[in-house]
Amino acid sequence: MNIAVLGSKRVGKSSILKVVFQKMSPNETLFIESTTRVDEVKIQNNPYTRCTILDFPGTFEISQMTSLERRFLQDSAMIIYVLDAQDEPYNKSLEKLVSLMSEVYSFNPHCKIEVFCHKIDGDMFVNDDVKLGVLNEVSEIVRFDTTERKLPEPSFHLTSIYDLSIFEAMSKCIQKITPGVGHMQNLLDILMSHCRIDKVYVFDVISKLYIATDSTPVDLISYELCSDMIDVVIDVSCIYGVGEDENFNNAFDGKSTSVIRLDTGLTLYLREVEHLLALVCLVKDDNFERHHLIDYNIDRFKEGAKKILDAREKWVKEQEEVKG
Amino acid sequence: MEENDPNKKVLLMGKSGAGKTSMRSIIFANFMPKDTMRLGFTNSINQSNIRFLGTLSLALWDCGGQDHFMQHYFESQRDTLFRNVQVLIYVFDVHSEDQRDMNYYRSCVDAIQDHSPTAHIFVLIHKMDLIPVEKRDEAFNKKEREVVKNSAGLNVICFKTSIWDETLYLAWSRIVHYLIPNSDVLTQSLNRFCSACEADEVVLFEKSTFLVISNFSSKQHKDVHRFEKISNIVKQFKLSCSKAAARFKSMTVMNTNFCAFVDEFTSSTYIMLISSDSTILPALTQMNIDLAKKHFEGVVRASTAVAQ
Ligand SMILES: Nc1nc2c(ncn2[C@@H]2O[C@H](COP(=O)(O)OP(=O)(O)OP(=O)(O)O)[C@@H](O)[C@H]2O)c(=O)[nH]1
Ligand SMILES: Nc1nc2c(ncn2[C@@H]2O[C@H](COP(=O)(O)OP(=O)(O)OP(=O)(O)O)[C@@H](O)[C@H]2O)c(=O)[nH]1
Ligand SMILES: [Mg+2]
Ligand SMILES: [Mg+2]
Repeated sequence: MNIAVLGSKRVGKSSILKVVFQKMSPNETLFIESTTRVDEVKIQNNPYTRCTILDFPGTFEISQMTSLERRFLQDSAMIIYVLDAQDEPYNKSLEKLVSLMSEVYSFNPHCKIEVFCHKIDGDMFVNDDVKLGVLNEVSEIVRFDTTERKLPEPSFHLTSIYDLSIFEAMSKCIQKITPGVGHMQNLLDILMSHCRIDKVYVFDVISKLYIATDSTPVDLISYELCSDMIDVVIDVSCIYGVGEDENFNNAFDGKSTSVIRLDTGLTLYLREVEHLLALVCLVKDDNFERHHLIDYNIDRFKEGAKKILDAREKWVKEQEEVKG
Repeated sequence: MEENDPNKKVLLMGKSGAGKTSMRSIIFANFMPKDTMRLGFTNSINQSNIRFLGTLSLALWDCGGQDHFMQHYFESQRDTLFRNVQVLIYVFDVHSEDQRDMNYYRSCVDAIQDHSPTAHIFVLIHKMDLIPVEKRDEAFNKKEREVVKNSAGLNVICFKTSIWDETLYLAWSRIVHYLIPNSDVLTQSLNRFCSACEADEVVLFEKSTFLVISNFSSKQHKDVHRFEKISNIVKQFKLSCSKAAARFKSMTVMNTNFCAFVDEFTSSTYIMLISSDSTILPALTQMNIDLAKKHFEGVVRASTAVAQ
């Protein structure tokens, strides 16, 4: 499955990929060199997070695309279009987006388009109203142009590499093109209501993207806490939980479990569900008392998730065979 | 008298921009490393009193390092500044070759010799992250030799540090160790507790800084820097919790090979206990920790008590 990342020069496309998938710290991105040709980044963290991301150069023009670039776009299930929110006015970049959309839909009608209003950080965006203002402005311009040309409307995200918003947006994007996510969500909703859990995520332990969550809204604070918990679990396990000649991959295993109790009356609970996949949930202390019940239900969830995974594997194989 | 004075005077000195205020803010004021980029220079001396382990009180003198301040320290302020000092911490920026810096260090050593001859001297060769990994030892050794040459024969301990990794916690854990009057009491009690729980090791951290206060291991471990790493990991997590307006009370982490407990212990400490014996039920260990809390309250108090 391919995701193409496009947008004007220096809007932050390569930075996003480095920060999310290659653990680069945000301030190191200042030194990233401009991309000169399409870079393929293969992601294979676990069976659920598996795709190829195509990092396009900012100089790319749809009107002058090469046959290779065309092939890339044809094969992409999704295009992420990055817009620099700190670089007003947006008209030119948005015009580019709309002409890109109408061209791409002509040869890849099922492609999903996601717009990242990026670099929403720094002094300009301390206040939430300003952020929402950008979102409204951008979506209105695009909506006007797309209705005029009878194109489907894309989705919009506010992102920055300096906080978790980029991880949240990327999580949502990958879920949109991953079959079986809806079933996972149903299973998580069931788990949640059986055990009175407040919020539950299934994480890719390596990138800390969540590959599924229950159907209640995601708030960045709970996401960040769960994501930081994974850091703690992995770091501590790398020190005490690996043998002489083992590495990171052995730190997180079938028995990996963690409980963190907060003074707000909430407990964070983590369990392994699959190789390098972790289920993390927030539970009120009172409901965590019955934690055998939670464990029992998580085991049922694991069985269900395994079935979804197997079905997906089969589907992917079939797709590959069709393609030959 | 200095050794037992509950008010411990700690001088933090070094050239402007060396990173003194940064490290102090990270260790004692819950700054994230990246927050230090916003710090301005320190105007003359910033004095803060820090409560540590309940009853100890550190008077931390963060001395701004611009040249005109430095001159005052060695002239008009010399007698007061360098009197009653328990610990001098001198910070060098590892990639600065400025000869004045070494001269200032030399002047500090001389002043300490005159006014606080029993003080402990620590030198931090700082910002090691700016040196490529494979060149760090060489850069450190070179600077250390130079420091020793300029220390007038006094006993100095050098550390390589950076705010971006756990080395900062190692250096400061060692430094505060010198400020705890009876740390042996703690180690002995931890030893007994460790055997009683059949644990691999137990470590005591100071509650607000997460510096290592004491530890006991019944098993060898390949990673000698693990305690600083844990300090760093847990402190970062503590800060993330505070962003969510929460404080963590306890955590357990386990996989097939081990189980780690980190728990609020006495009123001024957290404890970490590591167990690799899967036949010991976690609930039992948790109970042992809970039962030991009261006893250790007294032990910690005794370790910080001033001998009469
Ligand atoms: N403030 C801020 N700056 C960012 C963010 N993301 C990226 N940048 C900066 O934007 C600049 C350009 O980043 P790149 O990732 O090279 O941009 P690009 O879109 O790949 O550029 P081309 O390859 O030339 O098309 C770098 O200096 C990044 O540090 C962000 O979220 N916030
Ligand atoms: N790369 C790197 N930068 C650091 C480190 N420690 C501090 N800095 C940076 O160095 C700069 C100066 O730090 P300060 O702590 O203000 O320096 P200072 O020694 O207090 O300076 P004065 O108050 O003028 O004496 C800040 O921008 C810090 O972010 C480090 O370990 N590595
Ligand atoms: Mg690029
Ligand atoms: Mg300062």
